[in-house]
Amino acid sequence: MEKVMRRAGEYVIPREAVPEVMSRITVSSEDKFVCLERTEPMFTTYWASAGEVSPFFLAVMKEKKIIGARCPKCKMVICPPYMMRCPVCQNDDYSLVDLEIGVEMPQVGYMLGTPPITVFANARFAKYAPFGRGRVILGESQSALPIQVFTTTGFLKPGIFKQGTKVKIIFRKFRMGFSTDYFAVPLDEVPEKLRDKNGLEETALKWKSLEISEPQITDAYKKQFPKMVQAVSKFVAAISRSPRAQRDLANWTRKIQVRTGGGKFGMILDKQRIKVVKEKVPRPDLVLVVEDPAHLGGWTNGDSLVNLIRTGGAGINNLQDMETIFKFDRLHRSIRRDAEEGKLGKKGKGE
Amino acid sequence: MRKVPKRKVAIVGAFTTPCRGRWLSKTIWELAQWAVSGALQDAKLKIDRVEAGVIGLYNDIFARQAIPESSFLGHMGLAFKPLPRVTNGGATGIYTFGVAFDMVASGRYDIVFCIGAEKATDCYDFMSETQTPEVVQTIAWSWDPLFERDQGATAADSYAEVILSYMDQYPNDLKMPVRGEILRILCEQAKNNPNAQRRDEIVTPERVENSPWIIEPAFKKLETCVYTEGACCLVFAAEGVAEEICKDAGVPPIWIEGLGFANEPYWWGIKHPHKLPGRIESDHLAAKAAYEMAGIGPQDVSVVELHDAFLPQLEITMAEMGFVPLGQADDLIEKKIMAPHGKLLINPSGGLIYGGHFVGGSNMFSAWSARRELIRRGLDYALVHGTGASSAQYGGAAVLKRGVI
Repeated sequence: MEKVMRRAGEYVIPREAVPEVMSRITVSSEDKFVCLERTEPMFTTYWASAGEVSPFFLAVMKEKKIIGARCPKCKMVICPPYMMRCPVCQNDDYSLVDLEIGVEMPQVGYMLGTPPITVFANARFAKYAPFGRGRVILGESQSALPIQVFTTTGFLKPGIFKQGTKVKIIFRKFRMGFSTDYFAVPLDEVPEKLRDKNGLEETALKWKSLEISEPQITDAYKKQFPKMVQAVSKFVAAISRSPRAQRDLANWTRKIQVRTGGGKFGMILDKQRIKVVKEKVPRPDLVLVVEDPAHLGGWTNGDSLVNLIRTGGAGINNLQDMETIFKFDRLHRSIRRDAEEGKLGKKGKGE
Repeated sequence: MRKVPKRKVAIVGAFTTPCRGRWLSKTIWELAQWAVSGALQDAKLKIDRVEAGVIGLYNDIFARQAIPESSFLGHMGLAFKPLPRVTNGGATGIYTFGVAFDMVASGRYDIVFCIGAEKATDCYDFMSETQTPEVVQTIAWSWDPLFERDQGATAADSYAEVILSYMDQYPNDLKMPVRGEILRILCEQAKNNPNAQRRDEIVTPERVENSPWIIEPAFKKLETCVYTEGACCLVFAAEGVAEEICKDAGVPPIWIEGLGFANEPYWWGIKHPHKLPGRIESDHLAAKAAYEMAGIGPQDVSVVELHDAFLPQLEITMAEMGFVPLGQADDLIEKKIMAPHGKLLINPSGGLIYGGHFVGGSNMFSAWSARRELIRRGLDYALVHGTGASSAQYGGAAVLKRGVI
């Protein structure tokens, strides 16, 4: 057995995802029924064998090659080599024809379809959102290789990858035998001299990091600013009257610095409430930059901050904290639904 | 060739629990037993006349129990009788429906329960302190563990790739204003469904437009189905028995005239035997088989209750099932096909987006609604549809016909 490869300190179940043994008494809001809830697990861990498809992953890990398989009878080529026999062709004894494994595939191909960009990811991948994954056709393969897609230009926006976009396979520097050891970038983002090179590693490309810039201060934005802060204050004050909105913010705390082209303010999220503060927030957990203050006014009327970030109208300093933005985006609808159902509490001071 | 079953089968009773995002006060066993109790009451049927059942349970993780069907049997009043479990992804309900039909049509049993139940939102993500990411994570375990799962494939990806590749081929279809109008209608229709989860919500095309993207540029938040906890039970009976039960209950039998199923291969590619981009061939083949068995076509159908996991997929599925041409799914609104603009009732329950989506039983919920509409409105034919699994691989369809007492 060769040495075990590991990502030190990284666990198959993230430590922060594992709750303590707990129980609580909860009253069902609809039925007024008193219920008991407990934290429970249901998990299994594996040394999972890649079995007969191990050669594919070993070729990626050791040789930076992508291999496929070919039917000697009908000539069908598949990549990845997800099966060992042709499901169509039979031998004289009626058994299915064995595929020839180990066909080396070219490392430039095209996208089978426009790949989805995931904004709202599942728990394991939320910290990577937004990210893309799609399917690429290499050489004569009739099947598509599932693959993550990245851009070297920073934020993955729609339009960078489309059906038919030519892509280059890039390999991670540290490969452990997972389907994330390789990914695709648009071929036109690869320097010409590297386009024909096989086994290209990620370090050979220049990657632009996501940077948020200071908003441009203008008189027009400054004029809008006080009105916008007032609108945000009024909006977040309604959270205290909305059971749904309070649920959206349960067990979540953040100090957020908001920078706009008209000025700065802070939002302190704690105890299922948001407090707007005029001064600078010391050591913020998150910085939200929105150049045009009117966009924040739009948010208080139901526009999406996620959409604003994705279209470049806003930025955050930590993409791994999109969860806070998701929570912010839920608030307007929650307050509106409670209002429509007559569940909104009485107005407090300042509303 | 039209294949005719040994004997006809009818739905003679049905009950669905109210759909809720979370039934904090009820376990999955209670939800299922409640549905059984309601269905017996609806059919005015003694429990000892029921000879067998089939239960649709989507996955073990939501149920927090491996082999979860084992603990349902006693609750269903089926002790010492057969209760197979069906699990076929999102299409679990329609496949359970098919198994229950076969059990009666084959002549093995006269009266059978067709049950579906789901309790998904006990799942909780302690990192985001919300339920949805963990529910979505559970569904994501359905992706290929070697080649896909680690890349971050999500539940929504199942349909996003289908929708995006359809939009690659038909860039002028699935227009946002049309989608917004369909959603407005579905939301409005949910108000007439006493069990709908989102019956109090008001959705306008503008609100759809402004809602955040879930998977870009495939669909937005207000275009996605909900997670629901609930249960549904249908009572199937053979001809000869069905008429007698329906006479006593005072409701007409709803005959299952056609059934069809098809599964597409898991792996995508540029030609068969791979799944092709831009299509949900399973829906096309399932509906075609159901029409052929019933001896009708889409033009004969008055009510469609289809599995609308995501709104653009509703439109594609309607095209695959022959109501509009592929590439012209927006005709549903633009050519005034869908009620109230046209005659065809689509998802009068509010569908899975506004009515509810308790996966193991969603398609039974659809059948419950289709039966309700056939009886209430005095219509003749309904089509019930289910889809599911990664890349919308599985498809099932059933043609229902209102009988007479």
